[in-house]
Amino acid sequence: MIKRIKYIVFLCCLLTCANSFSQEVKGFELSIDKDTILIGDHITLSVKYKFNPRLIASFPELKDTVVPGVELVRELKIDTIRTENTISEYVKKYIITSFDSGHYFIMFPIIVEKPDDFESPDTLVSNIVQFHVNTIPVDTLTYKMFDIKEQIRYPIMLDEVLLWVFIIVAATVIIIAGIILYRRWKNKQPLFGKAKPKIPPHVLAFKELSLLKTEKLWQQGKVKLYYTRITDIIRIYIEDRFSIAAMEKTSDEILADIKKNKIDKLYSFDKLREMFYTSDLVKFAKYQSTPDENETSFNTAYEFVTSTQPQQEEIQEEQTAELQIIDEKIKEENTNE
Amino acid sequence: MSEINIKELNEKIQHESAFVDIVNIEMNKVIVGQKHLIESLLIGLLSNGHILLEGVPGLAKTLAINTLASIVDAKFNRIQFTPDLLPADLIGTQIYSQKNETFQVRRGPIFANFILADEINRSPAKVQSALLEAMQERQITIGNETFKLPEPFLVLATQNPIEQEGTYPLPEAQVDRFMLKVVISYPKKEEEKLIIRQNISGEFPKSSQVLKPEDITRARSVVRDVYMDEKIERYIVDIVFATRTPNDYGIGSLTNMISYGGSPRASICLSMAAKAYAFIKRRGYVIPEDVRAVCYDVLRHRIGLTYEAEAENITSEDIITQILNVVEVP
Repeated sequence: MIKRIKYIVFLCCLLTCANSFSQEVKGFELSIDKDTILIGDHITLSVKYKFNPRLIASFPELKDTVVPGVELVRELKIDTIRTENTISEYVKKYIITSFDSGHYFIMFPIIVEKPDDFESPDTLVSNIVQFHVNTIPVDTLTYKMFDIKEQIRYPIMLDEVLLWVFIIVAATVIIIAGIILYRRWKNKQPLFGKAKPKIPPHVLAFKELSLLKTEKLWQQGKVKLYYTRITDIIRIYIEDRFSIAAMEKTSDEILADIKKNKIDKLYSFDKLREMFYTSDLVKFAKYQSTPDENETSFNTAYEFVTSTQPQQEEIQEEQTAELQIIDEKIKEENTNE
Repeated sequence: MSEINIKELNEKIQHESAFVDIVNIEMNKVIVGQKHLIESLLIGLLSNGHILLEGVPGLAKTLAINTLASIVDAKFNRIQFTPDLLPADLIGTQIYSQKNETFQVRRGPIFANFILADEINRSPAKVQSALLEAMQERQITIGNETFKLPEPFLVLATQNPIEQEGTYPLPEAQVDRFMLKVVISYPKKEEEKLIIRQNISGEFPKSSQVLKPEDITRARSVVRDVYMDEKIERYIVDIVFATRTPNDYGIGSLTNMISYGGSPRASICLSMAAKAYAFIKRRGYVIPEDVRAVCYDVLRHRIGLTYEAEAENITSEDIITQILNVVEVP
């Protein structure tokens, strides 16, 4: 063991400049609870100070290092003890330690001031305490050093993975279901259950017109309802057949769109305008149409659907175009293979 | 109402609305183009509703109102709204007569059939309130006396969409009292050529006095009789409700754009304006086209926009267009 003695001298100059009122008070006492410790052990350093209460004492604020080699672990609160009438005793404790073997001396300065004269403080010096720090002897000849062990990696357990597998599967299912529902909603198909095959607009219109005829609404005096049904059938047909938002348009706007899309070349525009005009009169002006007008309006609606429905050639063309696309796809696949 | 009544009403309206053509001819003598402005002025006149005109300077806003007043044998006053205008300057005040040793009422310029409130947003709120109160109540109280305003009483206020510095924008609650807010746009090329010719020639045409206030009052009662079917009423209610709860009409994207929708007053005004429009078109019944024709002017100042809408440059006109595109026409 290498023993070193370290002498620490604090504020030597302060010792020489102690002034007169330092004579009025007694000094303070420094003590430790152990004089020998093993490296890293704690020592309690106590500072006891007795003085006249007229004087104000400032205990030094220790930093991490008390003296070189000695470190402050913890500082405790000041304990005040009244012993006589006017004299109080102050005890301040510090927990210190050392991580370097050797012999250490500790000496403390304490500053005292008179309350009526702050400009000339006095510094008192404590007694000196000493302690020894021992270390554990190491035989360097037989001592063998080992490297730090690497971190142990545990195998991944099923329980840990199971939750993540469940989350990924659930998220995938939700995303796929969302995509399917969105496609169905976009294609105006029922969200749940088997999608019904889309009825061509002209088939639907014919079906509705036939139903309207069998209901015999105007014969029962329900003329307003009769014309509402006719215009609704035609507007739905125009919407589905020509992609014109006819349900949200007025009669004039629908007729303007029919001209714009050149549908008037397929059927008499005047007849259609007459039908819409009569419908508006019945629906909004309480007009009592004649049986002839009712029949004419129905016939106009029927003829309009018949004239503008997709022709056989048109259907065949569509089917041929679809078949061509399928053929091209098959050819492309074969070429890739 | 039976079929005969509608026929009778149609005939009555054909007869009563004859003056509309004369008014149009007289107006067109002075005003070139601005068909929509003239139509809106007639709607306001026939449905007893006040009109707020908005447009950049030089679009004949004041001239149109001046001309309309000159066509009708009615008293017309123009009030230029300035920042130092006081309510008393508008409605009148009590003046002490030393001769009689009593207070005498001196009526303000508001006592006229047609009031042109020019640049209404240049005056502070107290003056605007005084005018808008008169518009609503159609009477004025000075001191202890209440005076009825003359019939017909029509306020046509103008405001400039530019130069907003130093102006007092009308609060939403007060704007709602205007039946129509008409936005005037620039004339077409051909129209502007005519305007130049008319002004350069030095012979500025003048309109003739062809109407009397009684004609207007009589026409107003006929307008109220214009038949509106329950289907049209439902269509109007649907449009107004779509401004309040757009989500119910499949336009949920507008929910964050509208801070408040049209009030019941909007529904009333839309109905009245649609009836007046049908009258102008010489019909005794309202059709969806009439509702759509007046929809923008009636609703544009009654839909509150959120900051989000303003940030995305969405106007109340855009919102009305979207609503009209989704609400099913009867």
